[in-house]
Amino acid sequence: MTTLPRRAALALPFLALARPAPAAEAGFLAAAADAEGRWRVAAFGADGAKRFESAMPARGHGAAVGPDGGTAVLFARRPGHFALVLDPASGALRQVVERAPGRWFCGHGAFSADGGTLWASEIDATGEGVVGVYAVRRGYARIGEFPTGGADPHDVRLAPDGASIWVANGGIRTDPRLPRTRFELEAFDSSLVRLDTGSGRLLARHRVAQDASLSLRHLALAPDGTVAIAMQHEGPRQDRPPLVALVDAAGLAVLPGPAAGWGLLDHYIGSAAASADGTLFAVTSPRGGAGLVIEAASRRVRAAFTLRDGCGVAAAPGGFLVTSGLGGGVLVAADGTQRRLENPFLAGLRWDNHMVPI
Amino acid sequence: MPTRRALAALLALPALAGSAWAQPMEPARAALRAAVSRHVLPRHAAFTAAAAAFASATAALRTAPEAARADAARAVWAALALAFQGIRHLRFGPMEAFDHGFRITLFPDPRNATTRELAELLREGDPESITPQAFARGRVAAQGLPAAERLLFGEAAPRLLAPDEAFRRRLLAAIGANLLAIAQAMQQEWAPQGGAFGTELEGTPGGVFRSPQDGLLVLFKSLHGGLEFLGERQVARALGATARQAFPRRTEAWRSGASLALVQAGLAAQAELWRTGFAPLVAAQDAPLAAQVAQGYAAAEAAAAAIAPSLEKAVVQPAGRAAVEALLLASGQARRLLTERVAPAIGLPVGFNSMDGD
Repeated sequence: MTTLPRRAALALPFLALARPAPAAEAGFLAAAADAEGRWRVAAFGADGAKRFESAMPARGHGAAVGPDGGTAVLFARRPGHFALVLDPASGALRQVVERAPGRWFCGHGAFSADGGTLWASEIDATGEGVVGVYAVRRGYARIGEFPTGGADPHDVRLAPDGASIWVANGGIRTDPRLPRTRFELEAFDSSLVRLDTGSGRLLARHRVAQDASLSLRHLALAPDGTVAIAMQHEGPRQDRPPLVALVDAAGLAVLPGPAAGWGLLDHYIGSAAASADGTLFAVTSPRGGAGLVIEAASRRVRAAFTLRDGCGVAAAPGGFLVTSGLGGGVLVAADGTQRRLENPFLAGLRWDNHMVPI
Repeated sequence: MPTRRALAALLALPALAGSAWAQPMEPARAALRAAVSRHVLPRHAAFTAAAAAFASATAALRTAPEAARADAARAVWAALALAFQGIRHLRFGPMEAFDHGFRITLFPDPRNATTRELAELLREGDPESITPQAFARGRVAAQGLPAAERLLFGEAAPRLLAPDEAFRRRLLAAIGANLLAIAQAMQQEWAPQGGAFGTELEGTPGGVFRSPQDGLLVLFKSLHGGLEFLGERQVARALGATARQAFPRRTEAWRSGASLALVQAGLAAQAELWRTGFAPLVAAQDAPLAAQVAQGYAAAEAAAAAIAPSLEKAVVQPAGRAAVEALLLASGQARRLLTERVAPAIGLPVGFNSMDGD
């Protein structure tokens, strides 16, 4: 089992390999691997230029950035044993937060609006979901948890009201003792829940009623509160269901069917992002080697783009920045046209899911 | 299973990887030729031979409904199912054409299409609906190994000998003839004097595969996908959360009790693909890694061999479950080695996002 000994996480040699860069311009942080296969966390500017590159003790996944931009927490991939608290400007490691006994990180988290609380998606030994509650100013002490009401919790986002979080319960049962093995793939209970951050109370739950083999996993939030849900389909391969749903005040609506190009995504979306103004969403499929740009207002697929093993995606000046697990990245405009970012640093690392703006 | 057109589109995607990922063509060509001549061709020949034996056994039973002939048909059904494990992971090209793979075995079958379609055929009793032409047009679930297993080993198996069940015997023989025709068609596609698909894999001007590296990539995906399918679909989905919640009837061949033997045969065949096609290529780059992968397959095969007395029974007993979990751990480790280490070591443009993402 490739688990990380808990002591090793604390003792990891953590080298910030590069000079700090001014953080005023747009930047991005992501997990990665280098050419030798060593796990990395790294950051770069909108042109792909290096901000920092540091060693990771195991494969990373998503990150949460504090509201003032001064802190980033990168989570280990599920079943994760640690989260790293970093200076997003320099990459300097400030703290390693170890998983609580009987709990495993699921790769995502979110800060509160005042930056004082961090919520992390976690599972227990049976695969059921909890949100771990961490007090940032008390050294990330784990001060509580509440259930997510489902198995396999994954993405977590703070709602614009600041008093609730969205959690995607992927629904696929896993066992942290058997990392990366999934059970119950043909029919499972996946949902998007809204939880009160004070009490943990369930405020709302949305399901995709027509298909019990869709796993709701990743989220993108528009400024108006609209949530895009990016899904993965585990049902029969001859089915090609839509893989994005939007949730707004009117409830959940799955995007239109086959003509929209869902087949390009090969049943799988790895990541989603909203444009800064909320008019567009982008989703990526490393399996399909493709992605789609979706118009929020019309709920239509506006453009498709291709990128081998393209997965990490974030809004960037001029469109969406998309990174590849084979190295490098492209800037995708709203109409789907893409421009490769010519930068040796960006090209030299293999970019993992996800990428977050810093 | 991507279509041929989708595969062509995928291969045409812009590859971001720089020269660091490119490999000389000749080692890849040699690896491809070794895998085809020492693994793909003999395994297809064995499948065709087993299909011929099954076709003649079911034809004999149709001619004379005797218990000894039914027993003989059951024995050769098991041999044919095992032989299919020898090629099952090769889900592209000849197996993808005309839905050959689905028609041989529609598994998993969560909607129980096999039982439904079989019942329809038996109720209708129409010889026109079980001709090779009719099978090529539809009723994918009623023309392959699972349908034959139900007829031979299911509750209604004794009726195969009933005087008034001539159509049941005729249907079984039609399935036997159908499987033989599919086996011969696939073997012909691979044959050097026939479709020469192995040569196509090496790359042809204007072909789906432009270079040996493209062909090697497809074989690598078979290697990785084979372990994933085996772990998640053939093993994990029967395990359930606890012994009491296990699903022994989700195993692939619980009626015949052959599920564990199928898993073992699949592992052996996949290890053979590794040994013949990839091990020399990887050893030339990183000998310890090649040894590690070989040990990974050996560990998975040993773990499968330790499951007793059968997969169906093991999942409902504590000791049996531990053995099944050990198999999932071992196969998962081997799979991660392929994704994280082997692909970059031999310069295959396949990323960790598509192979093992969240």
